[in-house]
Amino acid sequence: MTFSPSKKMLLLFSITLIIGGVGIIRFSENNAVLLPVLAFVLVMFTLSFRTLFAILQRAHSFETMADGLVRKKYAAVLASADNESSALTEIAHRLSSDDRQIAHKTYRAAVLKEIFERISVSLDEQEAVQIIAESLNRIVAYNALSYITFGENGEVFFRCHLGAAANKAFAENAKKKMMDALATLTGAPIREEQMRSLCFGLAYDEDAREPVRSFFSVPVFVDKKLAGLITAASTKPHYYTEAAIGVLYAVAEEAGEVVSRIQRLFLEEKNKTNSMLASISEGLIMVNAKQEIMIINKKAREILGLTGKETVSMLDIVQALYGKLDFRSAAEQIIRSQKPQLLSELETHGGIYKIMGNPVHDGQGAVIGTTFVFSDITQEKEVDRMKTEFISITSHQLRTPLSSMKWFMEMLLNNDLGELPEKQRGVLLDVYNSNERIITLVNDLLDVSRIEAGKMQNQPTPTNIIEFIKSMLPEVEQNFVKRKQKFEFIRPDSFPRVSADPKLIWQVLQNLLTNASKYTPEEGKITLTLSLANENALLTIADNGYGIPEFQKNRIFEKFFRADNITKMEGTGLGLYISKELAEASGGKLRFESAEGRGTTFYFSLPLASAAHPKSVQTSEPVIQ
Amino acid sequence: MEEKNEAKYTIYMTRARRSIVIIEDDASQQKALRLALEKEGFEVHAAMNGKEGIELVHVQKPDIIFCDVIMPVMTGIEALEHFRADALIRDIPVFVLTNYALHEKVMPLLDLKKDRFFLKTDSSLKQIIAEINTILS
Repeated sequence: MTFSPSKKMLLLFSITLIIGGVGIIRFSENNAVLLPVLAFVLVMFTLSFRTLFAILQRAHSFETMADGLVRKKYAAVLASADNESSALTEIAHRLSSDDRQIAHKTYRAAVLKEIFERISVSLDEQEAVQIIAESLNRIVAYNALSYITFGENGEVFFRCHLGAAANKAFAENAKKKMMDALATLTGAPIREEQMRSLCFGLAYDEDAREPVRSFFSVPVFVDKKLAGLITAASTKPHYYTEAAIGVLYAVAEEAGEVVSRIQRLFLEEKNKTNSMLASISEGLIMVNAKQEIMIINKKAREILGLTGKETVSMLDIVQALYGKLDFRSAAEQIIRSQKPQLLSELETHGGIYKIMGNPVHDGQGAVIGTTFVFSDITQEKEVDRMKTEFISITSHQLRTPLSSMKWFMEMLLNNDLGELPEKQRGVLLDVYNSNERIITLVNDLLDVSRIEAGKMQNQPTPTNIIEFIKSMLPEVEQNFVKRKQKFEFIRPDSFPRVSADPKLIWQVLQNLLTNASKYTPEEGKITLTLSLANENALLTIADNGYGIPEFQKNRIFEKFFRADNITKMEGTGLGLYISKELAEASGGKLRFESAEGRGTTFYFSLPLASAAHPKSVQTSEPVIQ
Repeated sequence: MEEKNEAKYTIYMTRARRSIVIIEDDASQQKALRLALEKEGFEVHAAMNGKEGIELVHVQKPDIIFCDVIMPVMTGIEALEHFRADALIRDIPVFVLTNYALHEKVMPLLDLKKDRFFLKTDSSLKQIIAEINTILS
């Protein structure tokens, strides 16, 4: 038999009191007995006090230890405990509760971490409920875990996870319990047609016959609205302790609060984005891959005449653009091609708009939708129209006096208005040539303006190139004759038709042949060769003239550029720029080889009509002006 | 007597001469064309704009019409459209002589079997007259 120090003390104290009391009363007259009794009592008291002292000292050392170890956490326990062992039991109990708290805290952190991680992708109430539900097995075991979330259009999504052997009846029973809990929470029963059910996890085990014995439900609230309900069911009785359920409630509440806060933040951001979108002057529509309208800003509503509508659907836009743009197909096409696309221009009473469609990519580069930007180009169109008009009016105004002078001088030089003395005639010829130079300059400048305004029209026709060249040669050959140059046109007897706009290639060829004559000394030689090369017609214009200095070869197609070795000769520096632009506008190419002092060769290639227009070969000759 | 014969002869000659209506608002160009064409033996009638031109063409029924494009009151394009719509005039060859750069607006209105387009600055009188002779022969 062992006694605790406090009991030992109490026992000693009691014995001392009894013996001392009896001794003093009985032997008060007898000093010989009284004295030893008093001595005994004194010794016993001393012993009792020593024990008391030992207890106090021990308690003090415990307190010091506890203080050091758990920062006074258990000091109160010790102070209030009636003895050492009960204090230790209490400490052990609290320690295990601490373990659970740590487990709960870890669980809470894990759930919140997952919620935060998913924010970057997207987060809604449904997902928050799912995260909590799917993490539940970390803290409690269950046979079936079900959770309910709510869809946008009144659907109720029921998901059930079988975690341990259970039969179908068990799952059905768990579902029914959950529906009842939900009905209690929402105050209205759920209709079967609203339900979308999905079960996963283990397969039903029909051998398992145990019924639902433990069960609990945790609601999840987001922004004070019920976002979902999580239910765990077990075959074990009294399985879910108050503490575990309490933790789940707390985590669900906290997760709901986090999601609420994030959603508020998203809403704020969305409002900022919306304000920004509303303030921009371009109309903007964003369509997702499911052909739903994600964004339509104020300006786009104005352009499409949809300002009065609360929400704008795909159909509204399709109807607003009916006959002008097949909006749905355009959206599909851009998602498919993944390329930006300039769509048709839209003319409304408010102005002219350019519509640009762009694919929208997510963080991983996948196309998730299309944006349509409506830019107001009314002013640009007006400027463009004015520019074109300016070009044509100016050309008309400049050319009118030039053509009068040309014709009058022509008549004078032809002696149509009477015989002209030779000296005057010579001077008049100079004036005539100067006038021709101004005409060339005006024409070149107009060509440049038209090229730059994008007004150079290319109307390719299948052309008999041999006949075409023959028809233009008399005019250019005058230059060769004047400069006593030898000219040769080398060609096959027959040649496939080329696809070209005669007006454009006339200008290119005339320019190249005139250049060849101009930049080749008198009595030089110029050759024009027609051949087939890589399914193309190739016109080679070779001279043995001055050539192009090596260091300036890369600049000869520049506007107003003139090579150093020919600056003394007249010219505007526009001819080759225009020729290259026109050659390319005709679907052809223009390149050259040259050696200074030895000559230059230009290669002008044109597509064959058969390749460009397989079905449109015409038999009639193109008319050449 | 001699005078009478002379007069008869003139009337006969007038009818035999090929006639041209020039619709051209620029006096100097009109003059140049008139001089050149009269020297070639044409009877020349001139109008200052499309509207006058249409009237003159109706009256004269010329062998050929010269028509500018940019003119006050009525442009050459409008006049051309009018000629195309009129069965009595439709077959008369039209030479569009212009310095108007946008000839893509004019070309669709021309029947290139008989009509021609000339950029004035790029065409000599000699070329124009040669073309008349080709068309009328």
